[in-house]
Amino acid sequence: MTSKVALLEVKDLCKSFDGNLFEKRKQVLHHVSFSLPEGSTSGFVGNNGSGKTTTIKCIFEFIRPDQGQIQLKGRKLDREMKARIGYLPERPYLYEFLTGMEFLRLHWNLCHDGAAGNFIEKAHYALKKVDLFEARDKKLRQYSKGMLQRAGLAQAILNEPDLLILDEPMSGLDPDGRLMVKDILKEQQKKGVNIFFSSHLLQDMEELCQHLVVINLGKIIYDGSLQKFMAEYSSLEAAFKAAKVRDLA
Amino acid sequence: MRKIKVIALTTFRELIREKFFLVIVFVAVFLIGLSVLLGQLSFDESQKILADIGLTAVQVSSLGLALFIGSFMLSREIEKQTCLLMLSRPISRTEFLLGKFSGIVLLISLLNITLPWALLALLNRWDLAGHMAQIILSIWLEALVVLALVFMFSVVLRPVLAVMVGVVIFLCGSWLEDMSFFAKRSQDSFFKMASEVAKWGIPNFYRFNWKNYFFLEKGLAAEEIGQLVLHYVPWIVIFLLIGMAAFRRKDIV
Repeated sequence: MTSKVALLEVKDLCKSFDGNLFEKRKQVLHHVSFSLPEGSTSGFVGNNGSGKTTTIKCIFEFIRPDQGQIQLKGRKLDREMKARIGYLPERPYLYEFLTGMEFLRLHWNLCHDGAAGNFIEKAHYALKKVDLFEARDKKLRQYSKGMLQRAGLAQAILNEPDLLILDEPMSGLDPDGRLMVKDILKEQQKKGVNIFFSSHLLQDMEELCQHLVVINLGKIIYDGSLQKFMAEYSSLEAAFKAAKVRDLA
Repeated sequence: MRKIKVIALTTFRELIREKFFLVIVFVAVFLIGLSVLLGQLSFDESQKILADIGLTAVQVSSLGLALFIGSFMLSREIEKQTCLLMLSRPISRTEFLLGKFSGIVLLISLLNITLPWALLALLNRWDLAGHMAQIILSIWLEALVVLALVFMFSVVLRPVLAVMVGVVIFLCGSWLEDMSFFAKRSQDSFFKMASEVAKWGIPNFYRFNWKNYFFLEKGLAAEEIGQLVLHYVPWIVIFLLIGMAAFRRKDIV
């Protein structure tokens, strides 16, 4: 019998940062462990400062954890795997001197060795998806905050990734923008893309996710199916509040 | 290698569109223009004045680019978090850093190709193009040493501090020979020791300051050019290796 390898497995992750001159080191992640099942959309919920972004940064090795292990499909993150992941950071500050197309070409070139392949086709598809096709030749500095967020999403889906890791993909978007992102995520789900995203917007989580990871003050307080988490509550919001109260107790 | 090239060309494109680069070019062109005017004040030294001030303009602008762009490049990437998207792609931090470094090298190279051409045209001394190339090689390598130095410091220090440390080390390196001269005559053992440490621990920018050799009849010997390369290139490599090691360990918060 073979055991099923988790898509993403985070084990015993700890991270602390230096405080100011007279402050102690502040621990922001306390033995964080969770695993995401393959073929699912997983939500990462927690309040501001609870450690969501730090955890995601640890996954990409932007931050070196003090201890712990992170494995993607049973392996450490390597180049081959990075090429199959689409990422959108919390605040997508992009190279504003580039146009939308130049920005996508840069990310295409970083993922593909040699030939340009069908870049134009893929870029046009991604830009149309995020409704930026008309603005493709404008410099990113002329884009609004919402447009930048959507341009960031376009680069995340450009290379047809197996896994999308999105840090607050709906922040800074107007209602139409949010709907658009949700539609894109649903389409990616249909294509079989695994999605892991953090958000404060619990309604969106409820709509999109099958799996949920809840973090509070740097500790994981729930890791499992969304259905189970909400079983006794009318909404995800109510379940989330109750889980925090239980954690404090 | 291909990914370093992609990052280098993107960085070059970014820098060429920046106001700071235009300001530096303006200052260099202004200095060269000034040297033309000053040269006209002299009866028989006009070419010497033009060459001196012109080459100083090339050196100052190259150093200015190296110091300021080198110090702020990485910190800006980290502060604005633009590097996150890049590093989420299949590239290593070393490739990212080398790409950024190479982009600035391209910019400094552009300046070191265009301005000397303009200077030669103003001097109308195409017979001395070989001498100009030798001097420009020394200025170019000097700027690259300073660039690698501030790049290394910018990984661990704030950019303003990296600029300051870069300036201090450049000045110390430019005064090494004077320091060593006075140390030999000094009774102070600490000064002697400091001079000896500086001799081995700081690049010697004085020894390869060849700006005055433009009108030399024979130019510089191949041996001297070899010494220049053998002195500066290892420094560039050392600073970059230390910078890469520090950058690989840095948390991008």
